[in-house]
Amino acid sequence: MKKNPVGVIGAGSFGAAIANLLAENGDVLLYERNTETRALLSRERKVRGFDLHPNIQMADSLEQIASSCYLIFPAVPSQFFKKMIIDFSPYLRPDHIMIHTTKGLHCEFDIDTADARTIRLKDIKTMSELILQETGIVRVGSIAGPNLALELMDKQPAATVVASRFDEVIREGVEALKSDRFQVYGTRDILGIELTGVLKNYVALAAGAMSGLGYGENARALLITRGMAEMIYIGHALGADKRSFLGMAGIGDLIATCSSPKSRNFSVGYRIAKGEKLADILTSLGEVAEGVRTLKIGKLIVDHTWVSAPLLQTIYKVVFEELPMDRAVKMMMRYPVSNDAEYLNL
Amino acid sequence: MSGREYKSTDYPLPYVVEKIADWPIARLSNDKENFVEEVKQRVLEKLKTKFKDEKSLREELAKVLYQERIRLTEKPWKADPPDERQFWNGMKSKLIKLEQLENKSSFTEAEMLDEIVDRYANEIVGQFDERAFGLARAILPQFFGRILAAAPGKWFKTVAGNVRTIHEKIPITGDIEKIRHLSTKGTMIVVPTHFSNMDSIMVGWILNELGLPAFTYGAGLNLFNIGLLAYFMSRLGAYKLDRRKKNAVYLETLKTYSTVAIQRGAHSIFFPGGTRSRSGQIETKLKLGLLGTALEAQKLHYKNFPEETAPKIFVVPCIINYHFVLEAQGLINDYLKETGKERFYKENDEYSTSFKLIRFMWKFLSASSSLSVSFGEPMDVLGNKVDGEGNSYNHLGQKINVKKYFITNGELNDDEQRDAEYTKILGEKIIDNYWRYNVVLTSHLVCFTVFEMLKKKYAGYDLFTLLRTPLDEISLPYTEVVEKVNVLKEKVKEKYELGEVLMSPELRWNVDKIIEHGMKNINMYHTASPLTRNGDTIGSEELKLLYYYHNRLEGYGLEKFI
Repeated sequence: MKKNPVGVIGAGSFGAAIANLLAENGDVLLYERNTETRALLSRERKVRGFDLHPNIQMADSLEQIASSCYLIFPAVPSQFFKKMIIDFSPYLRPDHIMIHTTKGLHCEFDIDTADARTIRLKDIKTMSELILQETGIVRVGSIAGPNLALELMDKQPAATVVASRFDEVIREGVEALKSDRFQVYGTRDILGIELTGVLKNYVALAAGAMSGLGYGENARALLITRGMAEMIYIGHALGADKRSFLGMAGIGDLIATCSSPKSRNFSVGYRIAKGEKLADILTSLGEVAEGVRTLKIGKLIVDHTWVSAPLLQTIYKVVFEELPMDRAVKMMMRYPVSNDAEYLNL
Repeated sequence: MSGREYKSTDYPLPYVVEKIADWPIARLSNDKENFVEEVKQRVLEKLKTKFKDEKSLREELAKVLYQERIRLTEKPWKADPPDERQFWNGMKSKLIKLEQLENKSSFTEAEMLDEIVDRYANEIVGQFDERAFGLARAILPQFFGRILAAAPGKWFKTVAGNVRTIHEKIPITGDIEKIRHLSTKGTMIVVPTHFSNMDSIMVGWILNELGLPAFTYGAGLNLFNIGLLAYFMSRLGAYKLDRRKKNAVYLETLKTYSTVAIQRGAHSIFFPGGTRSRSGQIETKLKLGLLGTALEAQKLHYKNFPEETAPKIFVVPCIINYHFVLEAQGLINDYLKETGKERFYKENDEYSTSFKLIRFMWKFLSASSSLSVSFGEPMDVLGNKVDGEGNSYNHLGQKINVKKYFITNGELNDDEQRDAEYTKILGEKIIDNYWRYNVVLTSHLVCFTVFEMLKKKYAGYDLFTLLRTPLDEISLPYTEVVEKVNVLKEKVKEKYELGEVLMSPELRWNVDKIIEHGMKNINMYHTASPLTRNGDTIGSEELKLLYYYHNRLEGYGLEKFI
């Protein structure tokens, strides 16, 4: 029996990369909301210089995706996710399985004006929580891992994690994605996978900034290791288990994004350290850097919960309050240290 | 709420299905032999796929035999059949022969399994006897009526009049018309809260008052130890449930029994809390085993019928609120023993059962208002709301086809883990209903307030120290109690308006009357009063009971207003 095509929402570089991976195992329907981009894609079939797989067809509407696909991967930045899912909702049914790829959080309040003392944590939602809230879909999953879009497009080997409370969703995700160059792991800890994917963004940004100062591998290793510890504490405050932070989507993704100029978050940090203004960087980048949003939301979370997060606090000052990076490094280095790997006792 | 509202004088309502012989439970009972056979075959089929070869099956049999022999020596019951020991001994020697002779014995593992499942299925099966039902229906009101007539102040009432007063005392809230209608549209699973052994009788009786056909339910085998109770229960649709047997074969038989009964349309009662709430708090966690059989039956309906005609299964939460609970003392002792381990010294309070029961009934029926029953929102097996015609709607108000939940890649499929997660989702919805449709009674409010005031007064004490405080020290100025009850009453009202809880009509009275009503009801039954009033102060003769009744409102966040 011929399988239904798999749907992908969003033809940004990650959406295209995922679509290409899925296309190796079967047909894919790709939807892009911007009509010009959509037309261009159908004509040229190229995303950032890489070819779209011949098994990929462009879809004209969300409705078409819903009626043709059982398995759907949205790859839409967190700030547009809610609108997309609300538009999508009328067509979705309980026999749809949705595995999102977004490494970001949604807030039910305005993150630029919110007061950390009065926010409610339940108003900060992961994408899977948003899907459950806004649609009739129950079988929801998430993927995260060291998956730099351009390397995936370039067909280099990589791995990812599919998370869902349903084994069936993990199974469907694995079957659809796995190939000789793409390993797919599974876990039921969806909250942990979503949070680790989100929180690593600001650590990547800090890594970029360190690199911008010309620091080498020792400093990066220090940053990654302590960055992960901090992520575990913040994740813990939000109810996640530490295990996922130590896996492919946690430390794995952290190493990739903290080492690569190809990572958007990394390059934002790098350019800030080189003295560019945030606003200019964001305009020239064209695509969304989730790290900047994560930093704002992360700051609200740690201020609200009193979690000690010196790295986040300092890098926030660098990005939004023009604290010079060299002074920021001094502040971080002076921070009193505790026992090594103490987070394992959480 | 939709449909018409019923007054207390309307009860009992006419039966939705007029002829008792047409009730699903009566039909099931008439077809008992085929029914048991179906259960058996399905259990065997399932176990055969689970234990694929002879060796793994033999290992499982050995486990069953081991557990059963332990049960026989450690927890024998009067209700056990006389040939129990003989049967299991026979099984044991068969198993030994099987192991020794390897392929040469005259019987097989599968045949042994067959015998065991046959025994279990025949033990579990209940029946419904129309004559016994008629008898119970005639006797019970008489029984209630007699006790009422004998109760103080009720000497001159006629029997019929007394029966009516029972209905006045038991306010029933919920969308009764919708529940009645849905019972004709599909199979109904009523899931009540569980505080007392009275619950199953109470729920059974209330459902009968609503004019619904008789429900089947699992009754603990230990209750069949009591002669008269056993006579009626075994004829009124109860099936037997033995909590001592925890082996995989028994549990599979029990679950399949329930699934097949639901598939055959038998309305069922599950107590999803498993056992009675020990602390007195509303359930926060559910046992999902039997609940899962509702989901399983629904899935099988979709497998066996075309989409449009597949019968639907409805789950209806039911919340019973007692002013006083028969077993309160024992329950709270159990709870404290469990939480405090050896720190809490338990005084023994053994029942002389029959005397206690009669005394309880007397008090129960002569109390001015002894309980209230409320029904939550009827839902499908995934906890989606259903309308009067049984259509499902999700939390966004989108109409849902329940079959789609069981479809993957366009095909209806089996997935135990998925279905277990679905059952958890249903469980969460039931819990949510328990909290929102809980009726706050005067006694609960007063007990909660007083105990929280004591907690604040003795802020340095932990729970166990507080419970052991000398009773003559326990004293709160009446005026302060009035003030705090008033504060909490207003908070309860706010929550009521937000749809977070229900309140009994008495809660609209003035505070003095609320306290008086609450104290009168709660002190009616217990020999040591949880609450006492000496002039200008409020005290207690039994702090553990005060704590127990207080727990009913635990979890609503009311304590911060003390």
